[in-house]
Amino acid sequence: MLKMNIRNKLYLAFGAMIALLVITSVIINVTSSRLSEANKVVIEQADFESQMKTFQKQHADWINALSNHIFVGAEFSKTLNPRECGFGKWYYSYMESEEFKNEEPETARLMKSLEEPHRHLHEGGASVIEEMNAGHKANAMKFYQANTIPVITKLDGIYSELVDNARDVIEKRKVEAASSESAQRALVLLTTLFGILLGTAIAFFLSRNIVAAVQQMVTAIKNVAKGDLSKKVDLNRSDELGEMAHELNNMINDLSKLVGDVVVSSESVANAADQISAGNQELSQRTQEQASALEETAATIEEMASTIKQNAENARNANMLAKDASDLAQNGGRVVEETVASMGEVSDASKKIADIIDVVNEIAFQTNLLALNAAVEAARAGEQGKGFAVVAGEVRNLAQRSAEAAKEIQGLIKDSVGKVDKGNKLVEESGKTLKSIIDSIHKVAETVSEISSASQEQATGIDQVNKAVTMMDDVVQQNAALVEESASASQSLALEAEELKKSMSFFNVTNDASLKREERTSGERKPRLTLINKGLQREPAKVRAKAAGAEDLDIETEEDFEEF
Amino acid sequence: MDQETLLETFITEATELIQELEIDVVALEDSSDDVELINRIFRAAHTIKGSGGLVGLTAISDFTHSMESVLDLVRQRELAVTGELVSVLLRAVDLLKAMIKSAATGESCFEQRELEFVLELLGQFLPEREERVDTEEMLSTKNRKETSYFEIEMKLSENLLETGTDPLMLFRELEDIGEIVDIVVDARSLPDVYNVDAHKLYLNWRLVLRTSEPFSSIENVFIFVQDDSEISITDVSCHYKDGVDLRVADMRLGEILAEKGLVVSCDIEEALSSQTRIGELLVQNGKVKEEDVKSALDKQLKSREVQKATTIRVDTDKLDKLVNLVGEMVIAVARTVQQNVYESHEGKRTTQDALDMLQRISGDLQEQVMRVRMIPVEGLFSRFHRVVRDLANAEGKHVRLLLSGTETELDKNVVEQLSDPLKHLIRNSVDHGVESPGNRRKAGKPEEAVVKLSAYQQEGNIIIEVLDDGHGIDSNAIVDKAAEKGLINQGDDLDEREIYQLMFMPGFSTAKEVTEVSGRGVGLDVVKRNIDDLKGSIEVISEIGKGTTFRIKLPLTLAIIDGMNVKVGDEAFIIPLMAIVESIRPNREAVKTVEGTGEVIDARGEYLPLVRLYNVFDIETDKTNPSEALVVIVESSQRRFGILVDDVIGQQQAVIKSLEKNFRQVEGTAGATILGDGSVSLIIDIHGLERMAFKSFKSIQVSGLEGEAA
Amino acid sequence: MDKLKGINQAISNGAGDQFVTFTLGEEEYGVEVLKVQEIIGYQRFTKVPSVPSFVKGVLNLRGSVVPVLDLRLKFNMAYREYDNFTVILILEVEERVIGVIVDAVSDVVNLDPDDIQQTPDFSSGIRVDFIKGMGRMDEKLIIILDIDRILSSSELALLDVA
Repeated sequence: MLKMNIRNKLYLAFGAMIALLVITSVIINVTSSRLSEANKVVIEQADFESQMKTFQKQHADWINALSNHIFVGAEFSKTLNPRECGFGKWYYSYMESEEFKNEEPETARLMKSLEEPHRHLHEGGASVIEEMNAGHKANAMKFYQANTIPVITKLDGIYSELVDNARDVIEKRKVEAASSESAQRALVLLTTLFGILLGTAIAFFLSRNIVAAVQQMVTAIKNVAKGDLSKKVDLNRSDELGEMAHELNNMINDLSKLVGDVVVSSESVANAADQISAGNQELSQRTQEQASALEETAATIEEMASTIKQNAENARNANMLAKDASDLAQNGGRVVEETVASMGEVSDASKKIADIIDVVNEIAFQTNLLALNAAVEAARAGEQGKGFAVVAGEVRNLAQRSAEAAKEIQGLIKDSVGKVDKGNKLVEESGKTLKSIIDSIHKVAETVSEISSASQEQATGIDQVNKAVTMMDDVVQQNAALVEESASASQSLALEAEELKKSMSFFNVTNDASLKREERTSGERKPRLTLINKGLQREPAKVRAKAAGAEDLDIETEEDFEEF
Repeated sequence: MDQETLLETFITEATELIQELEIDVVALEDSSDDVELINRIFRAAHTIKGSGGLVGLTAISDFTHSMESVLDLVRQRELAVTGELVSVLLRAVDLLKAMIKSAATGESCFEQRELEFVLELLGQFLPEREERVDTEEMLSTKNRKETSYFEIEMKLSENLLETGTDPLMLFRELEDIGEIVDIVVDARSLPDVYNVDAHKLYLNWRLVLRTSEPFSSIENVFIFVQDDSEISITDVSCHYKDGVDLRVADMRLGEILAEKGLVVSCDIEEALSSQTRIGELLVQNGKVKEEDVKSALDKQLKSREVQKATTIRVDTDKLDKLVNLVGEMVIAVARTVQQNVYESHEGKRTTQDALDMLQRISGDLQEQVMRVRMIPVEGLFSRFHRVVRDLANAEGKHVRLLLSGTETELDKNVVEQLSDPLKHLIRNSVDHGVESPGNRRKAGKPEEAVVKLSAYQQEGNIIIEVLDDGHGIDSNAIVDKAAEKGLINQGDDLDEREIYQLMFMPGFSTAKEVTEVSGRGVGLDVVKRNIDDLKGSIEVISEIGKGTTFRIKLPLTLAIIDGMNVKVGDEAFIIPLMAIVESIRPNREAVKTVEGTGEVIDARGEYLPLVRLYNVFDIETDKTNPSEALVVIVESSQRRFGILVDDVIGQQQAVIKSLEKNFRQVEGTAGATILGDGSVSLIIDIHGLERMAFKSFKSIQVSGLEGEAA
Repeated sequence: MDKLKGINQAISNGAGDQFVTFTLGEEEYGVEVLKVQEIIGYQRFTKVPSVPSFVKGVLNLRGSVVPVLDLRLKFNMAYREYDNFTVILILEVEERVIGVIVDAVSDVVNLDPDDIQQTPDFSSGIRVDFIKGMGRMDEKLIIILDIDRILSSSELALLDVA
């Protein structure tokens, strides 16, 4: 059995109305088609009537032509074949067409009776012509008289019958049309009346059934909109409206459960935010501690750096001093060397003099030899050599004297050479001593220079350490900033959770224990969060300032931290 | 040349020729088949004959003619060479010598009787008729026609043949009157073969005719052609001797060939441009036939030989002075050059060049001067064949004289002064040294005894030995005789060498009987005096039954040697270049020590003893490692060995200065020389060094003994 | 002045008793002036192998090769280094020219035959037969050498055996 829900009720109501409309239109259509068919038959019969008349005339013309041929001897130009004349052509094709089969029986009988006379007529004509052509005018005439005239008369008569038959058909049709038209008018009127009655009934019934339920539901929705989720729709219906009410009730139920959940979650969010705040506080504290430690380190390093710098400076000074000392010593060495050189020159000169003396000596020796030889010669020459011997003796004397003088000079020179040599040795020794002094000074200078360069290196190292500390400080500062950011974020999160809870209080939910407990814990935490926030907001700026000026080692005292 | 000079020249020539002739005749006895020898003898006789006639010494000329006739028969092989013939010829030679001596001195040194006798002896070898005629002719000593040489140049008319005269006829007629010794055809006007007219004469001749006929008879030959031909006849006798054109000697072979029309000058120039010997080249190129060159060469050679015979005698004193001066000059030049090298700077290039040239020229000059003085001993030695022969014949002994080292050169003066002592020693050997054939047979020796005369150079000395294989000298007999003569005391203790020295004391003669030869006066004391004069020494080595050797040691008084200047430590030495084979720097492995032998060095695979000069001469040097020093490989008569020296400074000529003059002989040195820088350098005596280095080497040392004995 | 006097004496007395004096070590020696050809300074000489040590070598004296002897060594005295003042006496003995190295040449002196004593028993390293006599000159003693004997060919020839 079809369930009578609102859709089906509506389908039923409108279906009845549509059925009435269809009946009315069918009635109208049937009657109007009968009328048009009657008209069509009338027109066809009229056309047929005229066609028959034409054929009647054509055959009359044919007979005239034949008679003329026979009697006047005029040329016969019409066809002798019954299928080739105008009528023949139409007739045979028509007789075989479908149209003919639907022809009224009277007409069909008449039409069939036409065939024979017509064929006879044309065959007779052919015989006439044949006779004529055979010169048997007489036979022709006779034949014409005997055969042809009766045939044509018979044919003419059928034609006439046909025309009459057509006129009868037309008349009959006209009567039939007039009777069907009046029947139609009555039927349409009846149908329309029934439709009006049925429509009014349906409208009344349907409105009364649906509106009451809808109004009930509107009330329920209005309650939800107001936040009251405690009231439900009481509508026990099986149709769509009943379903709707049921679903609405479900929705209210779900909504009230959801609001309960949100309240619980917001409570836990607030709780978590609280915890984060507490962690941030601790982190902030540690960061502060780190920063202070770093500051202490930086200060110490600064001190160290300055000490080392001083160290390096001192070493540099020492180096300079050593260099000066070395230069001085070197100068001394050079002077000694020059002294040695000039002593050497003196010695060389003495040696040269000694050489010259040697030459003098040698010359004296040679002279002596010559004189001796001369003496020998003189001795050999005996008396004649006397004078010569004297001269030789004098020469020898001179040679010996010069040799002696040379020897004396030689002794003196040797003495001076020896003294110079001694002086040389002394100078050389002092030169050596100086040289060793220079060497030690060089060594000292080298050591100092090494220290200086080591200090320099140390200073550079400390600088690098300082830089590293600064970098560390920077990082700590950044950390503090991050902690601050994180604290503010957790605070705003707590606020947001509170806001949420506030929003959630809008809803009037059915009694729930969890919600009430949450409300109690969140109330205790609120003031602490603000404290942390306050401390963090003040500190970072100071730390940052310290980090920027590495030399300025003025570190915030602990008092500042006591606020925490 | 005036007659006198001509005569002098003839005498010099003839003396030399006769000397050769004598040697050759002696040699003929042993080598009677030597055609060349026979020809030479013949030519010598012929030349003496010819030139004798030229200077008007017809007696000599005639006498040699008869000799020539006999020699001609020998040459023609119609007469056999016999001892008898040789004796006769030698007798003839002796006579000839006497005749020349007569011509030279103007005194009669021979007896007419001897001449006749010799002629008769010679006549025995001649066929009957000729002998008589010759003898007659010779005895008549009439002037014979002289042989003349005519050079005839025939430039005959081109149309000569048309007149029916045949040039051949001219030659036949010339042959009738004499001998054509040389003929050259001049075919220069001969056209090429297409243009030759058979009826024309294109040839000219130049010929030399030797004839005894006068000029006019030659003219007569050409009487029929002289109208339209150019005939020139020149007497060229002065240029010809013995049928040899003397002018050829001065001509080059090419010129001779060109003159003969065998080659044209451009061929010669072509040949000269290459360094091959011209004759070989011309033959090679097919320009001339080998025979032609040979004959031309022979001609040249012959001419030179003949010309060589003409020498100039120079006083040896002059030569001595010359040699000494040149020697001093060479040293002075060397010194100048050295000085210049030290001081030379770029600007002195030309001076240096001039000095180099001067040095070279002075070197050449010295060599030439030295060469002038030196002659081979061959001439001296050859003379003794005759001595030995005559003496052996006289004593009925068979003795053969052997010569060796005849090419050894000696100062001409020394050679001449050696003649007498050598002759005496040879006589001594033949007379006293060599036994009679009978005794020899008994002693088991061949009948023919041998006397050997040899010369060689040793340790800068010339050694001449007279050796015989006779019975030797009994030293006891010498001692006895010396004691008997009071030369020594009976009890004197003398060693063998001293005993033999006794023989050279005056008044000592061991010959038991005084033969004709030995009795002529000169004893061994004279021999010794002669040798002493030559600053030489003489010693005797003898072995009873085996033979005796007289050894004469002569210094090379003029010795200038080519030497290599080497350095050892601070000292410089000269090693005679003659002894040096090569100088090498050995590598470390090349020197090895052989047990008992000492060090050897590997010189191109040959192990030679190494002598460290610094060891032998006790010189300090730091170059004791052979691979850092140099080894001069030298060759002595005994062996080859290497001398280790520090360095080789260079080659140089050294004038030998005697160390003995002011000092004494120093072992291992052959004297000293003065180097370019004025310092003295010792000349190493290879043999002495060898003896010092190889103690096992034994040799008898004579020098220094006298001093010790005194 | 002493020397001049000596020379004057030498001149007045003629050459016969004149001596060239030279020193070897402490002693002064003399040779007859006629034996002396000349006196030359030291010059480089060429060593000669296989000779006794006292023959120092040979030198070039104007083109002739002259042997050089060290008289100190000949007399078995200590060797003394040669220097530019070393003197070589060129002597002529038995037609030989021989150089003799001495320490120094002192003088040409004239000795009276009366001042020359015959060789006494003279104790020195020098063989007695090499000494001709002792000359007295003022306070000095001059040993007169028999140079002919010292440089005789036999003395030199003895070297050959050595």
